[in-house]
Amino acid sequence: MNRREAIKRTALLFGVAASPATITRALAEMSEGGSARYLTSSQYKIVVAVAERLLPASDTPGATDAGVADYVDVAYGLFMSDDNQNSLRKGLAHLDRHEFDAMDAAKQDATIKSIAEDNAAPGKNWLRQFRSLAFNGYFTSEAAAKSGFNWDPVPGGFSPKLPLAEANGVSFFE
Amino acid sequence: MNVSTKGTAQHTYDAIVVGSGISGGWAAKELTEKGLNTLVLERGRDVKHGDYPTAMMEKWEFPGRNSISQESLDRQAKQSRTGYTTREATAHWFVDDVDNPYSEDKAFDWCRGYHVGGRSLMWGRQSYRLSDLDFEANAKDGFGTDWPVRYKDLKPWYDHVEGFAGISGNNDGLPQLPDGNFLPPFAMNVLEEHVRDRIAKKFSDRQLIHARVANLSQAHNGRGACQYRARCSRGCPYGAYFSSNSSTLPAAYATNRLTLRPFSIVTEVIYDANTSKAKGVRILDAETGEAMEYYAKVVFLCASAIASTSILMNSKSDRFPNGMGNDSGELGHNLMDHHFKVGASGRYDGFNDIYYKGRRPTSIYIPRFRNLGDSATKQKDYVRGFGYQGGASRTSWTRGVAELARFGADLKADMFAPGDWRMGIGSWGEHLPYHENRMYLDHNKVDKWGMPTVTFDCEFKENERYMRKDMQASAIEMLETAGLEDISGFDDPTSAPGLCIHEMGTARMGTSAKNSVLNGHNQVHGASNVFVTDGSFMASSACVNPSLTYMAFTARAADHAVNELNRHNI
Repeated sequence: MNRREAIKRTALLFGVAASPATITRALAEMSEGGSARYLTSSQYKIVVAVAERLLPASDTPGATDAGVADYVDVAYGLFMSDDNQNSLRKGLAHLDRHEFDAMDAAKQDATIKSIAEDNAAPGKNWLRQFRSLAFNGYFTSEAAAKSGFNWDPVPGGFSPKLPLAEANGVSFFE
Repeated sequence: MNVSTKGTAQHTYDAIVVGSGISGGWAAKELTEKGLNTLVLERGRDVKHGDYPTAMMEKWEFPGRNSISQESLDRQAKQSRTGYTTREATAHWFVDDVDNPYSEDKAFDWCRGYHVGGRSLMWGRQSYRLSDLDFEANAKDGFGTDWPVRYKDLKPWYDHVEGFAGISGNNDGLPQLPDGNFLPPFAMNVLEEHVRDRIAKKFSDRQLIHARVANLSQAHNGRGACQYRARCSRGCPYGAYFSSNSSTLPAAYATNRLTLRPFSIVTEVIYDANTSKAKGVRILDAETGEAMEYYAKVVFLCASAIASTSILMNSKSDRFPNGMGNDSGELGHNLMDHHFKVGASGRYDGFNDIYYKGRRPTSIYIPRFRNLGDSATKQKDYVRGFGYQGGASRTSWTRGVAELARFGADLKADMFAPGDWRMGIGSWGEHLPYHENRMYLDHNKVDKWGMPTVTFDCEFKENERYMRKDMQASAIEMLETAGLEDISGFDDPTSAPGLCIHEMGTARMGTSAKNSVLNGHNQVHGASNVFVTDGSFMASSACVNPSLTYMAFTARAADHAVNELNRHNI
């Protein structure tokens, strides 16, 4: 059962108005089954670890809940030029050599911070590339759409000056 | 060539329409409604209204979250040049470049779809009338040849096509952008209204108006109102924008006089020297390769500018050794597009507690304000003019990508909230008709059906380059006036002709067979029962989006064709 089927079944099980928390939990359970199709398993585990520190689970789903690594895997395999694949692989290999996935959260955060603040371009460029992938994977996910954003797939009308408070200060998923 | 002519009677219609896009759909509707048994020949597959596979898909249902796959880049390298056409949601509407090659003496982006409905499914839907400023331009400044028509000839036909298609917009009372037969406009958001008011205050010659679009702000002619999903180019299951599939073809089918034959590649128009008219067309079945002929009293070429001109070029006879209608030598010449990818955007500090709900499928428009015929608006560096499309919105999560040192739960929460207001305006400028800008057929390089391929030799020149400076500078000036901050101009000088997907000209209309391919009713000089009503007839490009004008000319030409048939003149 893939994640989308899992979500649909979960929604059926609890009714369409399943609470975000319910869906989040279901996603978290399903995400344990995530695995690499295009990346190696050691590359994939670094993707999972970095993405979760960038976008950790909180009152909204985290990167793992949202299946970000599976998206990065497919993007890497089918949607990326050779150059971009090389650059992604290099950064993942570097973090793998430092056993990033085995670090505690504080150490992981410090490692990411040091890449962000290092003036050497390769690390920064890699982080920008990875953030772009992880953010896209996360903020366009079903989990983010339904448990983070306002979810209104068929608005049916237009309110040109909606008070932001009426949207609870949150964007509509596009 | 072994041509099957079996069953001549079954292959004979009153009218043949080549192509089923914006122009072909209109020709089919008008001709069938006026009583003609009409055969529409479409080179691609059939697409019935509602047969839009990605229309209801959400982003996460696309493996690449609606981006361009490497496979698509391999197969659709040229179609991908826009950066948006071959995303997962719409790639199936654009041709395979490997199977449908063309060549470029100079860079030209030819983006097209081979299926019933053509580009009426993916078009931008902006719909503006040309004015006499446009129809008189060639005669006044000497570029190109005079249009054989004026606005008064087209006005009733603009009224007619707008009334059926459903154009949402406002009557703004501007001579350079004539009013029309509109549904209510789509509303502006708070920043767009602010910018509109500031521009009105500062500039007596400029207006920011509601875009005029072929999206339905209310239900119309049995089609549903816009649901504010803004997924238009995937095909709209609600029929809430104009396409051949949702609008004209169903009307034509309703007459029971329409036959539509997909997978029919028209290779030439058959000229009959005895009658000095066309007697029909020759086709190749795209699936079987079989050559066949179809016959009719009148032929409408609506295959799109480049394709219709290619068919005329390929239609050689003793009478027309250089291609049908080419006594003037202008066939293939005067190729135009619009030049764009220039403008400005900026951030607005304010309205932080105001947002919007619903994804509006349209924009705002700033009509042309240069070279309007008076001394005040006359420019010394260039002729003609440009308009702007644009809009304001609040920034999304993408703003967080570049903040490399910020991550974690707080950042994530921030990215779920709308960011600052931003507004951008991009300009669309007129491309002059230059004789030397052209396309021609390469008979040494044939496609998989054995047909000669197209080569482009077209460029933007000095007039466009001078105009672009003003297009950017005026954009910056207007956004500054409106109080925006961090304004940055943009101008992509690498943007080649074709990228705007408004390619037009190559079989222009004119005042005589000496200067043009078509007369003022879109009839081929020397073959008066052949009408060409797609973008190829355009004698100048104006600066507005052209499809509405193709609709109006097509409906007018169909009316003329039926009148002439009834008078036994063709």
